[in-house]
Amino acid sequence: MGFLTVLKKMRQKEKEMRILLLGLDNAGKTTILKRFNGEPIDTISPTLGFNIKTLEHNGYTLNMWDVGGQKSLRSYWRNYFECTDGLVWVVDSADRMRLESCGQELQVLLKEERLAGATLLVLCNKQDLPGALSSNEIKEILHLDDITTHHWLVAGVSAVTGEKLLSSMDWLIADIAKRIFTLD
Amino acid sequence: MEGDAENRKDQILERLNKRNKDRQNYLDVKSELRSKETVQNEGVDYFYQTFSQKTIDIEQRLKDVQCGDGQPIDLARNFADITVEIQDLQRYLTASTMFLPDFKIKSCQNILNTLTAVSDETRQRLLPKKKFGFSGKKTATKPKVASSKDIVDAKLSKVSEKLGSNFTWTIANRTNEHIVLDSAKVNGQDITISNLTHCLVELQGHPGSVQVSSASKCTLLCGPIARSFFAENLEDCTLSIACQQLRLHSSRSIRIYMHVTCRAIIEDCKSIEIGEYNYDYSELEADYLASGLNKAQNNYTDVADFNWLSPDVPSPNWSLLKDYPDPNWNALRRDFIANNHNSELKQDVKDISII
Repeated sequence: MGFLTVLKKMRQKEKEMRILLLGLDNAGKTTILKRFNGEPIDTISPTLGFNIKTLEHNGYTLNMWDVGGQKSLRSYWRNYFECTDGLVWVVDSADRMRLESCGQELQVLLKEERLAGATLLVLCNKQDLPGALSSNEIKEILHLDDITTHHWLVAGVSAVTGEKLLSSMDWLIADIAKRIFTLD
Repeated sequence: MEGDAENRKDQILERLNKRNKDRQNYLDVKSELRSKETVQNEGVDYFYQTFSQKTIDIEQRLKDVQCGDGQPIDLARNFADITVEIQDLQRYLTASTMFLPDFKIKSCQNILNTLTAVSDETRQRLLPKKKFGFSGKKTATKPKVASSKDIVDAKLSKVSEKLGSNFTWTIANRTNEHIVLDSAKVNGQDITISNLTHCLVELQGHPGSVQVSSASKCTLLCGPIARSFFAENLEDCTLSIACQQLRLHSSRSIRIYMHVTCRAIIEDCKSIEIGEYNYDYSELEADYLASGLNKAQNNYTDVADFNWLSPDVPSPNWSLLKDYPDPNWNALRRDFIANNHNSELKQDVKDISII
């Protein structure tokens, strides 16, 4: 048994996944990460740089990377593309002002070669706000139906109330698991 | 007879034993060799060696191609070979990523990228376009990408039209106005404000979030915001804001009196002055409670500038207001209304004079 096979087996045993959280600033990426990890969410500051959380969920080890969404940080997003199994695109459903640039940034990511194999989960966050657009409206605005290159799902969630957050993350993990752990 | 038979049996047994031993030795040597080979093939050192050797080979081939003045057909074949070699090397690197350190993967990838670029560039230079199949492919894909992008853009602009039709700003396109929204219109809502000039806006309640886009020479006074305040493209404005997070983009000459329980950030901003929140109206205390903001926690002195990442030197883009008298909003409101009235009068006068 060569080194390569040993390593492959190890990765398989650990069931490790790398998940990248991206989106415009103020979308609620860090809040989603903290809510998912069961941490308090009332003291979150805008992300300067990035946060990494490793957590266990459904028997999988998830490496979650949350990279700041400020314009000045977006050019650094590509440094995190390598080896990404799942991409979580977080949208501020109440931010109609910037949905257009949100869609453009997502299109750029979908063309990215290094993200070609990754599963895409679009989270329409802040559903608890009264002015939030529904996940269906956002699906239309972002033209998600045109995506043929990635497995994707769109879900309306709220990081504050936790609504639907867990079930959509479960979908993401199940989809990745199907791809990388059974086909091997 | 018996002794003879015994002898022959021994001989045969001996021969069989010897052959068995030989066979086992041969197998041992072979398996040892094989295991050595696989371990070597997957070793980091072996990879480095092979990779750099192949790189040198490809570089040499590229050089040869450039020096020699071969026939276009030979050139095309050479380039095809080089491309295949580069692709093989890429495959080798990809297959080896499991046991290579990140840095090495990155640097090897860089080498490969440069090789590809050099090969493409040389090919473009040496081969007339007509003869070359790949370059045609390349030029064909480019407009395709552009056109798909155009489609996306067109779709997006359609979206914004669509959004524009069913989306209304809370306050938009106003000039010289004093706008007051009371708690019924503000509480728990997302307030969106756009394109104001010389206005005094007061939000007396606790909004869920507030977004402002494009305002100049305005004053915005706002009750406690449960979540975030987001603003872009402001100029010569004064804000009094209490919120959880404050984000200010592409703005200049802004004075902010703020209460922020987490942190405020600025990006692409200049001449930002920060003071402590001091807006006051009758239900302020109740609104604080309803918004869930902690009145005891105010991090207004700690603003992060995304364009200034040096931790030792303070950002030149913002400063704290020091020894500056707190503004008197009531007086400001009075003055604003009076001035506005005057300016309206003046405008009337002007209109008359034109007539």
